[in-house]
Amino acid sequence: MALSRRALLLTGSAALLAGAGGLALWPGLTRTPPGPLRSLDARTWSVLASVAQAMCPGGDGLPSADELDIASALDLTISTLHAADQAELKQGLLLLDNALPGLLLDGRAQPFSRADVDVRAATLLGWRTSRIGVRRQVFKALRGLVMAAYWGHPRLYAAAGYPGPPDFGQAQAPPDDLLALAEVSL
Amino acid sequence: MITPGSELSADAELSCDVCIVGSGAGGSVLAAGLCQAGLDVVMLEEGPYATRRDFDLDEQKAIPMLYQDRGTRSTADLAITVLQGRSVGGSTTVNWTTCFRTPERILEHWRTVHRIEGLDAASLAPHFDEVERRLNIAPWPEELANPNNRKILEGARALGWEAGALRRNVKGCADSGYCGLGCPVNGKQAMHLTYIPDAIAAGLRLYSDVRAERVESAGGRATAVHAVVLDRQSGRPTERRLTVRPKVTVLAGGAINTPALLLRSGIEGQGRVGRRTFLHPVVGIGGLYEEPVLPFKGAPQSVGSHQFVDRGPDKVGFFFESAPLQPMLAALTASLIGKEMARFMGALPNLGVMIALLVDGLLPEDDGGVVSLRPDGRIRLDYPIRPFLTEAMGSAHIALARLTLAAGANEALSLHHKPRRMRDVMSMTQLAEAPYGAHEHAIFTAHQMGGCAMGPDPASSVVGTDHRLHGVDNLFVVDGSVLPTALGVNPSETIYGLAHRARGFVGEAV
Ligand SMILES: Cc1cc2nc3c(=O)[nH]c(=O)nc-3n(C[C@H](O)[C@H](O)[C@H](O)COP(=O)(O)OP(=O)(O)OC[C@H]3O[C@@H](n4cnc5c(N)ncnc54)[C@H](O)[C@@H]3O)c2cc1C
Repeated sequence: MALSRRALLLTGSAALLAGAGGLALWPGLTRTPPGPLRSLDARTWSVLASVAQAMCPGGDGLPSADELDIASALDLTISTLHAADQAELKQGLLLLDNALPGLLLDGRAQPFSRADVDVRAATLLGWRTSRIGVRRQVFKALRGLVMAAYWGHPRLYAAAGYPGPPDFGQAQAPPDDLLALAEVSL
Repeated sequence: MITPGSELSADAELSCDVCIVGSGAGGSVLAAGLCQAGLDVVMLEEGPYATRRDFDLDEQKAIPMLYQDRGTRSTADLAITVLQGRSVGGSTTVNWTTCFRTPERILEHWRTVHRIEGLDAASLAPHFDEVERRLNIAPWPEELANPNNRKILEGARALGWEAGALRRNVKGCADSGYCGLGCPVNGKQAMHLTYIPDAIAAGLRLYSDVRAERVESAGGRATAVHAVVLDRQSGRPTERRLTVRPKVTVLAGGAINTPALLLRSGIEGQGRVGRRTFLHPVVGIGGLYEEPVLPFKGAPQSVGSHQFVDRGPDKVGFFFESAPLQPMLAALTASLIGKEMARFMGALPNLGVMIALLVDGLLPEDDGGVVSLRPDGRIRLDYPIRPFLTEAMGSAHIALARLTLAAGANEALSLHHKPRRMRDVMSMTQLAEAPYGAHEHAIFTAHQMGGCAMGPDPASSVVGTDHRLHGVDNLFVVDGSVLPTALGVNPSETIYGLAHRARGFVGEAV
């Protein structure tokens, strides 16, 4: 996602610095990746998983983002983006994780990824219409990735009343014969 | 012959008469003509050579494979989602097949405002005749329109608005609805099934998964195209290099990418390269119908209305079509999350989305967007949504909501972050009061145009009316980036026609 690095730095550097200082003090991750990661690290993966779960909590017969391990699917997707896009996405995730105001009783900042799902959803909706451009961008980028991975997942087809891709036997079709397709020059 | 980059076992250097960068609408039509005229042509395409055997119609596989930036391309502020193709055939492999000749009104605007001579309906007609024959461009019978498209007809008739069948470049179309993911039955007459085979039969050497990084030039002449082989799976660059040393170089990478390639090559055209980039920005309104309309099924675009394409000299016009909605694309049109999103998606079979495409670049003050390079080399597209566009977006929303309700929808639903829901004309005031523009609602583009504008004067354009770069003798641009304004109709046929016309200019330069 083409999140402007400059915008992120301008708006986010203070929060990022604060966050970086706090990282060491944070308790363990709420979620841990089930397998080796390709683009994210354990922390950004867990923030992404907490975003996905807040956006797609499941229920009423729908699987949740956690059940489908959307964050790991996205780790793979993100690994194919330009390195600078990957870096910006990770920055965006850290920015979000450091965004919640207030401190826990023991004086530590409350990371987004450890907040209740309702708080997370409300925070995300706040970012959707935030007056801070970079927040809207982070929301849009993360929402796009998460929703594409979730609603494009075959487990969700039925919930969308979608029969799934039809099969025209194309996989078994012979390779296109370019010379047969060609028109001879007039 | 098509050679995937992965088959290059060592760095290679080629010479030829003409090197064409990009295998889409412009590049392919041109290549066929040049090869048939006996020229030795090398074509480079950064995307894969993908055919119906690869088109399994699964959005999660198709979109990263067939779209620019793996489907994540957007404006720098992320407000506009940019759909643009990236495979052999370019955007024609994934486009929705609607074909129009360039409107005379637009040609006249180019003549009077941009001083472009020689592009009038009569002189373009033989070129259009020829591409229409080769691509089997013909009206899609009204009675075959899917429910989603028929709604436009029904709504327009109820309101007394103009609407009619669209022409499509198909032969043996299975009416699947999956044009956007690659045609599974070779019905769409995309470039990889038409002009590319024509060119191959006449000797074209096409390299897929190979991206042109830079055009080298010296003394006012382009001397080489430096390219890198990409990994087909990930689309990421490998170590492998290909260098082409042609007599004539043609850039046909499409809007956004062609100006970016020029900028990477240090060719800025007096600061004009990348400027005047137009998008036909798209806004939409959903209609929730009593009966299923199955927006994922049937020819995606077969009816359109140009009722509001000309709203007078001081307003941005727009035209209406509809959009196919497979689940992933449907999910991207909304801004919802959680339960609200689940409800939206649960209604998909009964949801139709009509779209308005804004005709940018015609008002004197509308100079569109700008393509530039980031310090790390990535492409950046800035497209400010100025007040005249915001006004048009608002008017388009209201017109679309009227059309949707007139077509019998129970409810018209805006794609705002907080969707406005309209059941009758009274509730339309909500739309009059709603905000419009960046990050207020979904905005898409599937029609990227401009960035290397055509015109006679180097101070205000990048290429001449013969597609030759001002100041670089043997370098041409033959793709959608030469359009000086948006078109007010879907652009593919204009690009085919211009490329057909450009065959002579490029051939003569060899
Ligand atoms: C989803 C979708 C639906 C559409 N529907 C319609 C429609 O119904 N009707 C219509 O008229 N138009 C439609 N369009 C638009 C239309 O297809 C395009 O305007 C047209 O194909 C553009 O032609 P072009 O030659 O400028 O570029 P393209 O056809 O996009 O081709 C450019 C090619 O160049 C390649 N390339 C770019 N840079 C490089 C590089 N540096 N090195 C090597 N290769 C490079 C790209 O990968 C691409 O394959 C649609 C587009 C999309 C994406």
